[in-house]
Amino acid sequence: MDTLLEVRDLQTHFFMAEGVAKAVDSTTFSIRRGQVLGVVGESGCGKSVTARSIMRMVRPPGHTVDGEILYTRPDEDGQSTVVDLLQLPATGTEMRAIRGGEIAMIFQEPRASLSPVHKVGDQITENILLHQPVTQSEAEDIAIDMLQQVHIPLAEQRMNAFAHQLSGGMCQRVMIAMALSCHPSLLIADEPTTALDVTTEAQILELMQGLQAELNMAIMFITHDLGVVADMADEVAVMYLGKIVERGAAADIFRDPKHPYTIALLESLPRMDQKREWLQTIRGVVPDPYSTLNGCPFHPRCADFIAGVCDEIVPQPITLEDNREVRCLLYTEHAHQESSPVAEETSHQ
Amino acid sequence: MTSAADPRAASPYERGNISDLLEAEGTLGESRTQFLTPRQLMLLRFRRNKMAVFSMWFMVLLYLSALLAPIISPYDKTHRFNKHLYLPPREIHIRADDGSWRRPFVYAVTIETNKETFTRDFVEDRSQQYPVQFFVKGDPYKLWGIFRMDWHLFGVENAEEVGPIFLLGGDKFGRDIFGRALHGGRISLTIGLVGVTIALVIGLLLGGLSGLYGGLVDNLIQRLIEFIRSIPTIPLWMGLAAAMPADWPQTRVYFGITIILSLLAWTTLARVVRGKFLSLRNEDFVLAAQSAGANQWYLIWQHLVPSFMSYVLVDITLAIPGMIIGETALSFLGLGLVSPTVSWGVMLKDAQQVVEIAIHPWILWPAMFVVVTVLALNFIGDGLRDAADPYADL
Amino acid sequence: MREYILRRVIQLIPTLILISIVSFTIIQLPPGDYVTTYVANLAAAGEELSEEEIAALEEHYGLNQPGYIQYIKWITNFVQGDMGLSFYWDRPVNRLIGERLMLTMIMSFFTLLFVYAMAIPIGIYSAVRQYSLADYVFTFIGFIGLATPNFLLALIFMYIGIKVFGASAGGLFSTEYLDADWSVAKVWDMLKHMWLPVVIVGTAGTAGTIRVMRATTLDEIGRPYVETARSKGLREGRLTMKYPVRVALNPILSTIGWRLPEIVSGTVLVALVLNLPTTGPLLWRALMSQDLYLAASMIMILSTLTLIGTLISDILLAWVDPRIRYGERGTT
Repeated sequence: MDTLLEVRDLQTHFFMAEGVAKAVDSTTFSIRRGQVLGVVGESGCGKSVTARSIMRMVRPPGHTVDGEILYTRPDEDGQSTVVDLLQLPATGTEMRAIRGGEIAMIFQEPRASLSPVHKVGDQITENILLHQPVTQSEAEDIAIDMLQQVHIPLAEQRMNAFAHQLSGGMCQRVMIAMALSCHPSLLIADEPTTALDVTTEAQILELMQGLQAELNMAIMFITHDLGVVADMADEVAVMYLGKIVERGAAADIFRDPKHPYTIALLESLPRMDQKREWLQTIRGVVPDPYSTLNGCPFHPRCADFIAGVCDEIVPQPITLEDNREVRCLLYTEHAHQESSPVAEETSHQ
Repeated sequence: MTSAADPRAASPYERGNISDLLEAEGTLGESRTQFLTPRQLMLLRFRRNKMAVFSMWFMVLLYLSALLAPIISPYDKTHRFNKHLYLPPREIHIRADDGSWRRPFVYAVTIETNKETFTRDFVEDRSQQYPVQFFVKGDPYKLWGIFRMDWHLFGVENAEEVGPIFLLGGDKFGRDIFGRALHGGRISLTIGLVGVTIALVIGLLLGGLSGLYGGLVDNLIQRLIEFIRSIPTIPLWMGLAAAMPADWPQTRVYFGITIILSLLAWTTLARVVRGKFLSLRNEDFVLAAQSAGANQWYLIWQHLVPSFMSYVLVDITLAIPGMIIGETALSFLGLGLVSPTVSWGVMLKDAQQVVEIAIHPWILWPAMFVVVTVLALNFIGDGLRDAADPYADL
Repeated sequence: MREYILRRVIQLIPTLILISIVSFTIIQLPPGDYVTTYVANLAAAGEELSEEEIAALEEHYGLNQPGYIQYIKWITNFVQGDMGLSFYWDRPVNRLIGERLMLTMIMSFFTLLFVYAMAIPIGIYSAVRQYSLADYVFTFIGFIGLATPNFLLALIFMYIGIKVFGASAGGLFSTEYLDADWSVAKVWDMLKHMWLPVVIVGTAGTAGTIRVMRATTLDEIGRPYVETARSKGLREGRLTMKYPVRVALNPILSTIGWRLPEIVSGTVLVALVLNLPTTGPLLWRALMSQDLYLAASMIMILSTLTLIGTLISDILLAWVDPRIRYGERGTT
């Protein structure tokens, strides 16, 4: 499988009167064609800003200041070229052709994400007409077809509905139909099921899985829910304070998490196969985005904190076996010099 | 973890903003906003709005000068300088013709007849200087109807002969527009306050009833409000003002006008109050208090009223300017207060003729007082509104 | 739709009855009536009237009857199009009001047009270019416009007219057209004069509408559906106009009728200062001289027209936006 999108050293900062908030701080990852990447982390860790950086939709005072977003674009003659999205003007023709046409996005609050004054049908056909050389009536046919594909009953009548006449789950189906209407090679889903109830969430996830296989598109699935990631993702990236702290195949990460943050996240998850009195929580909260912590950003909350190391040295990504990557000092010689307990022994199971 | 359902809460920047605000205010270092009451937060946000704070101090000054009008104005509000009708605003000089610096003084004015237009013009006599004196004895008055006094903040000697010190000029009877405008402020500025108080009482009562009981009561009150609001204001005000008997004493006319003006203003307040009552009725904290067995009136006073008072405060502030304009308009038309009562509207009545304005433009000064007052009150109201918005990010 | 219109028209009737009572009562309120004022004026001029003459006058004007009978008589005739007699002018009210009323309506219409034509583009521009120089300038002008009562604005314009152009800015017609019959040239002359009062009356409304338009647009620009539209690859300009502006326009246009009372009030006052041949000066004189039928009829008509204007705007809106027809007022 070939690489579809490669994000290298992405930095998106928000320049506020009170200082610079490094919402995304040298983030590196890649997505392969047809693969599902789960991006996990607590609120405010930079997941959504990463997604918007890829879409080039970061609004001032936010700016993507550095990095590369290498997107592999299929040519008409079957070849492919690699473009750096950050080199394109954010509102230029080329970027707008990619946005919505080749990379599509769905959002957290389905109903608020649809215009209250336009019919849902018109909102879908608008996307089709923007990216495909079809007539209005052809676009409408495609839209109806898409609505049927996302299992909306009476699709033809629903074309004339307004967002406020549909349920949240229905709205998210409409959003998915709209996003997929131009067969994008990448779908960015920013917490698409967070605002939905559990039953609807399951339906939407199932729908997405089905369509993903059918259309062979890649999905960047952003969520704070590890359970959802376990169901959906091939690969997982765990984010903390604008940085990816651990990355690897989903199965590996769930079987054998390396970073103390990942471990703590998994501990806080209810599991069927284990009997526990109560769920673990991670102590503390995500620190202020303006705060300038020395050393590892997770050290104030870390269970395996090593004084004199973790609060002084900034960890760099380390590649482990099985294409795993972890940003933690426990896996460097620093930790062994101090002869502190290493995570493997102290943690899970 | 902050609520994930609210995208604003999920944004990591909100918190930093407010903590910075607190640091800027120098009140709290490490601690966070949750330790502040909503009222303190509102105050903090208001203090950040420079325009609103400036306007507030300006209004304080204006109200004070209205209160102390007899002291600040150099002459009695009815004092007529018959030789100096329509005297233009006096220029205060601090530099003599020879270029030397002096303490503030005015030149004497002499009257010359213009040979071409045959009008009487006032000319400065550069040979006679009269220094501006402070705390001078002058027209006697009774401050607030209690203290018999006769000194004024400033004045010049020999005013009857060489010209009174009219900072903003004189009117057709040779009276001081500056001093009269300060006196006029007593009427024009208080009419808004009194009117708003009346409107507030009616608005709270009817709006509260409407929101609390709903049903028929609500329906009736809502129809009444719609009815009042559908009538064009000025014809209604004119009709009502004209309905006041001409022989009413001025104090009664004053209250009559106030009531007429609050007749419309209460509807806005009642709507706000009703809306808040309705929306708060289903709020969790009210339900919580109810299930804890709180008494209804206790609930209203302890929970409902404080939670919407800030909104009401905003609406009050924004209602005062309308009343000030209303009084001015009615008195200007001769339907409200009349001379010898002094209000900005009464003063502007002299400016009804365009010809008069063209020759003596300074008679429009009271209009400036109206505009600046309304402007300031609007700024304060806006500042309060922004400060009262719990979701406002600065 | 037909049901909605019918319901609204029926709702109008009790309001109109109430307004007629209020209009009539207000004029009746002050002690004395036209005859007492008239007699007092004559007495001041040194002419005394005998008891019989006064009684005859009262009977002539119908003022010797109790108030409610006067009201019933007036309102029955009013509904049939006869508004009674003006005491002061000694002419039927209909004929006095006719042309002035038409001019008032034309002026109100143009003012409404002016307010929206100015406020909506400026409001959108200020929102899209928030904190730009133009935004600050418009905001500042808006504040001044809101703070200056329109009759003062009229005075200031008159002053400028005399100082700068050496001509009085008052009136709606040039002298040669004053008593002329209606013609294309007269209409053109009127339009040339009308822009000034329209601008004066419309200033406050424009300032207010700019603020609302700017605030709502700003509010909408930050909403998720705008981000969705952006994620489709729409051009920024088209995006703004099609989504946030479209949504922000709804509440502004839906309240177009609510502006009428304010504008009619404004025209009355400004007409007095600028001496326009509209209803303003006539109403003022009628109120001052207790000209019962004239004053009551005018308040009644102005209110009725305002109500009808509001009704038309509501019906148009319901026609455009199905959500309101089914009783779901407001957007988003």
